[in-house]
Amino acid sequence: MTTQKKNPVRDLMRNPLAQILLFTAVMALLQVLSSAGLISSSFVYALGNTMIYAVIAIGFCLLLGYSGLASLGTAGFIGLGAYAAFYVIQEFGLPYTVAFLVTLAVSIVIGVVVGFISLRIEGIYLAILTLGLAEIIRNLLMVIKSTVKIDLSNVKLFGIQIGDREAYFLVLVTLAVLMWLLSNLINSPTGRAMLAMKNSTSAAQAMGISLMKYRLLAFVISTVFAAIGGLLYMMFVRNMTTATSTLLTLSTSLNILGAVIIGGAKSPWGTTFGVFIIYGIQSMFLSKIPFFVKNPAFITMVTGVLIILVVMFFPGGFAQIFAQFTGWVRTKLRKGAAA
Amino acid sequence: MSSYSQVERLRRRVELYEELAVLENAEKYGKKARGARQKLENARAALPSTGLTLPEGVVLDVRGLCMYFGGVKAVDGLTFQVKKGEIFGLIGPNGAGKTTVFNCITQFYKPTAGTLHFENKSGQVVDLNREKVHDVILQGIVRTFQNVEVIRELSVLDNLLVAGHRQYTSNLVQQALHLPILRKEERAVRERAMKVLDFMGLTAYKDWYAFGLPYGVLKKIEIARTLMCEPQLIILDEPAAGLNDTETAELSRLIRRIREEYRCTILLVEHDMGLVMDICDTVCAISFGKLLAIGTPGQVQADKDVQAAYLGGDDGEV
Repeated sequence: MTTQKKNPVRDLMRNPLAQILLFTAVMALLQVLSSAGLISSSFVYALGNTMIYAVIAIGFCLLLGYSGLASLGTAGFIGLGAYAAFYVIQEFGLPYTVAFLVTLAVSIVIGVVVGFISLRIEGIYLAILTLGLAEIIRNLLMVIKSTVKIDLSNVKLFGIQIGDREAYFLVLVTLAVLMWLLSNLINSPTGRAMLAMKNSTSAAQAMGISLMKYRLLAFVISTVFAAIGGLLYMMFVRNMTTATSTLLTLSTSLNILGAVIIGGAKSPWGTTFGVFIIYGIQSMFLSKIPFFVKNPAFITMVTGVLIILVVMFFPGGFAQIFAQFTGWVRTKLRKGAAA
Repeated sequence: MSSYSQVERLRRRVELYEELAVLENAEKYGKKARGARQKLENARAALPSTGLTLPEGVVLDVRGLCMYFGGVKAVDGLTFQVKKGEIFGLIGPNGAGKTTVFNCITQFYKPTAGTLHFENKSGQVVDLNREKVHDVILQGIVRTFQNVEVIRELSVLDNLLVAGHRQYTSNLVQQALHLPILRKEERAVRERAMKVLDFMGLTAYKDWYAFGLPYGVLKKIEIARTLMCEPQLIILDEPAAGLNDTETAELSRLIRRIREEYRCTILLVEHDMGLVMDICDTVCAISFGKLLAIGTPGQVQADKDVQAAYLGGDDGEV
């Protein structure tokens, strides 16, 4: 029996805050490298986009992985945030913080409504219902205004003029903060209460967990995250033609669902990784193959195949693959040290 | 006006501060504890009186309890009293309505008719029918389930922390920011959980995921969870189902130990007559939702109606 040596590096890496700071540093470095001309700017643009999806996906991770509630309405909630940003910033000329607060308020209201519905309807029916709701939202938004476009030329945040680079950092910092809040929540009584609710509603209730409170909370949080995603999208990409954009359609909701499943529904980091796989493969790899460029519908097929493979062989997603791999490496190392 | 759940929350805060004042030997917690105690007393004074009383020594009074599902009368006018500190067995043939009685007491079902009066852990008599299902635990009533409902995705220790859910007083913001108060609270609840695990002999399993653990251990986890929240009345739904003879013998010793250690009342449904006759102080036999007999195990065993219900009546057969 070897005594467990204190390993400060490993202990540090297990701290969620350190993980988040490291992630932020790497992402910031990539942007800096791109400014210096070492990395193509389209790569960094794709990264920024992917991080926006990561914001949306980690919120969904809490809903699906922890609370066990299925929703296909993510895209609609993204739309709420995007339109709130457009009206507040572009039409009324108000600052970003106001847009943020409005997005928050709108998404909380919608989250509460859907949460109440989830108390009556469960499982696949809830998914269908949220899908319908998202379509209603999308069509409403399309009727209200078919194209939304934000001009950032006089939008400032904390006195800083927002351009491409600032928008990238805005996305990055938002993702980091939300990731921190979420991982704190997961590792607290709230996260455990949600898991209890997912596993057994009767046991959860017997132990004093109010289904109403935690279902509402799960829906509110995931809706807020999705709407913030929409807001960030408007800050980063800045325009969206609702009729032709796929952002507010079912395919986005499915991609997010896919990312959460592939990455590991109970791990925000796994989920982020899943988003990078799904959107990264799309924007960096598949978009360069002529066949997929001609038939974009087949891109979804790749995602589908990935989901099938993961669900069949690694139901815990990439988080599970990673854990198994590190475990395997560790035993190999230990054997090597013993020999 | 204040509600019982507010009072409970304040009480936990006071406990936590007092604990911290001793642990960290810090005067600021002593001050906070006194402030919280003052608030607690105010809230207690503002708590509306229920105006209910129970006879001396009675903890639970079930009167005229009825639970109908459409035309099915699962429980039909059942009346019995559970005395403080006793082990009370509810027996009856399959489908007699035993679990339904439990579900009514814990408010999983709202009874069609009847009253359920209970003396909670702070000595107040409450009408359980007015409690929400997730607030029943605050009164000191905890239960286990017939088909073990352990949270499989959590470790054994975390399962106990979930059971201690209402012991936490920190709000959502404090949790999302992982403020020191949450971390301290977490440590206090964890310590309590470790004590319970030790008491149950489950310490070795504390970091194991509940998924895949042997059935006997899962049953123990269920019982361990009931001990996390200062129970006044523990309701066990078929604790011996699926256990072998050795495990059953161990269980009966365990149930007695729980009663001694935690000074609580235990209400159980069980088919294992050996266990019931061995440990129960009072046995209540029901059939088709109606009371057959109530008394000491010997009395109930000798009762003609009970024998008929279990073995078939002697009307015309012989």
